[in-house]
Amino acid sequence: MSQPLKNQFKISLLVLVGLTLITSVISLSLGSVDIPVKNIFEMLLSRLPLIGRFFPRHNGSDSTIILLIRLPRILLGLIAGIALSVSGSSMQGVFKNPMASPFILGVSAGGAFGAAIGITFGLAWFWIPGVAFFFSTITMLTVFFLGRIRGQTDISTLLLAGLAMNFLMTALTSFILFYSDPAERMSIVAWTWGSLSGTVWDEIWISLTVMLLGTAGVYAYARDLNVMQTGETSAKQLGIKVEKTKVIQLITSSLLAAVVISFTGVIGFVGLIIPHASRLLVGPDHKRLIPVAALLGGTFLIICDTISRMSGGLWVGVITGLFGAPFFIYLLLKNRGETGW
Amino acid sequence: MENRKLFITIGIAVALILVMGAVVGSLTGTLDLGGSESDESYVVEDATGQEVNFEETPERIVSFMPSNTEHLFHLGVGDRIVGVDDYSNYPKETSELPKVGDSLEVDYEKIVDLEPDVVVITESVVQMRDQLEEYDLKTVVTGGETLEDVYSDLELLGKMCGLEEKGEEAQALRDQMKEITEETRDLPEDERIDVLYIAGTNEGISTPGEGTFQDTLLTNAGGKNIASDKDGWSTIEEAKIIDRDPEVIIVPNHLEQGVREYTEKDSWQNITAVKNDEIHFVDSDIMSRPGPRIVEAQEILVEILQNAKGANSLALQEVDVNKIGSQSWSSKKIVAEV
Repeated sequence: MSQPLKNQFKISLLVLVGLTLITSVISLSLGSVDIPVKNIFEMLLSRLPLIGRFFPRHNGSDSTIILLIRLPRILLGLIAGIALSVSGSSMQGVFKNPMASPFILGVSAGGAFGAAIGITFGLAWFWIPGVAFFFSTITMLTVFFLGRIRGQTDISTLLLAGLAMNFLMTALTSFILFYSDPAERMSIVAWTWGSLSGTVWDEIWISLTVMLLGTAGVYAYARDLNVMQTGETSAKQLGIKVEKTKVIQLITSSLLAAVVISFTGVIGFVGLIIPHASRLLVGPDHKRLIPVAALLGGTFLIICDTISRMSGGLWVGVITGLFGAPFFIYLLLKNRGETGW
Repeated sequence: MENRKLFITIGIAVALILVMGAVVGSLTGTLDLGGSESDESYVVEDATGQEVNFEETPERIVSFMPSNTEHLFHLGVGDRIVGVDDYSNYPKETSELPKVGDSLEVDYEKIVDLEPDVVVITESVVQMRDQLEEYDLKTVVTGGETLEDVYSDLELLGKMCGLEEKGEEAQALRDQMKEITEETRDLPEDERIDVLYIAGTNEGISTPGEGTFQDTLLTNAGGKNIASDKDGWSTIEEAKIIDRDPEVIIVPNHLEQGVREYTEKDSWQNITAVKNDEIHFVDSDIMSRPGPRIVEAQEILVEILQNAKGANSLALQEVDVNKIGSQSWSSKKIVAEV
């Protein structure tokens, strides 16, 4: 790693951390009730350990709005954005293709189906992410093995297998929600398009824990993913267990996607466009790509969800889709030139 | 390789700390609940069977659902309402009240900002209760489904507001309904009129079945709801409608266009109600809200069905389609005046 590049990476990281913080504060100050930014800062700082006592403590409705309504929602947006982007980075690394992502490969839909099953059968809320993880992993591995021809991953077969599983899982989700309870019918739309509304702190703790574990799990394999990009033969020669790494990465990325999706519903395209944009920023090295994608993804989802909130509840997946789908078409066109379709 | 172990270890450590934090947080969160009880405190049991404790009578109420809003105004405590859902539009005082969203997108920020003493919701949106409790807000859930619910909801809300009346309003409503249906509610089966009530045309034709207050109102008005063999709300196949051959079709007026698309179909032309032009468009709000205005809804239905019966017996005597048409026209005018 050359010195100027290393500096550029550090600067990008700093800029991104700043961007994430500024976005969060702006998002915190927006909503149907006007609350001055100064009060927001005081509410947040007074809750911190040690320095908290130097700031006036706010009680009452404004503090409930900030600390119990807006803050958890923004944090879940941040966590979901990070998880989906890291998940996408890992999948794109494994398949060596920028079109792989939890949404495109049907993994998100699998997770949503699992969560819908959990809710329909009345499981306790902390079991629901587990069921979601189970189904997203099944989906991921199905797509992975369907996409393999003679030990090689064929990308168009992989994408088609993802498309098929995406449809199947979305259809199954709608099916069980439709027959479970007429009141649940409206939530089919929320499950298909994703929504962060009504986030509570319990959801934050679980998703934050899994997001940190999963991100560490992907980052720990950053070097292996790097080497695998140069070719699986050379990776094997360097002592990397390619198949094992692939399966571990696919399960970890399914976990990341499944847990956030079991709280938010399917939010598409974040895991697709963010890793790609990050690659344009800092290059293909996964050691840089993963942290940059994480921060960029978190910020992106907070922005999309703020638009969702301000638009009176337009589903956040609709907004990420409006950004993401054209981007997917762009990738298709670009890939077409390279592979000579 | 060393790096990898380090990351996984750090990851697991952080995870453990967070889980412990969550456990401790949720424990301390539950500890400081349970307030002191004053002498004036009272308990009401709401439609879900949950007991809600009031230390003093609620002075700031957020009413979610138009029927709840109408109940509260009917009880004379409309001035305590500080916010309503987007659909609450009656009485006209509601237009000046802050709106807190609808069941698809509840504006919890707005609700919290209004600092209500209690939020009144219905069982159809009962999942809102968990969310509101998260913000330390008291909720009372009304039934809002059957005719009996209408009376008990009125009584419940009266109690909730600490009103002197011990269910008199509910009894008055009951008496009024009895009076209106005096001649029609006990009609023998063969004198009843087959009615189709169309409540929605989005995903097929949806109709109220057994247990809905509309079904009871139709029965008490001397009708026979052709969908009453099903429980609650359901969709009805067109073939079944044609087969059961309703003599009267009743439609909330916001569905006029959607329903006309059906009634203009060739396959519908042999249905008695279509042939005799007995399709009645009625005020959607009055007909679909389980609130105190069910009195008006009941009056309208009795009016329609009694006039339709007149037209019917006429049809038996002299088979003159034109005359029947004019007859039902006049019945529509009467409905409009109500």
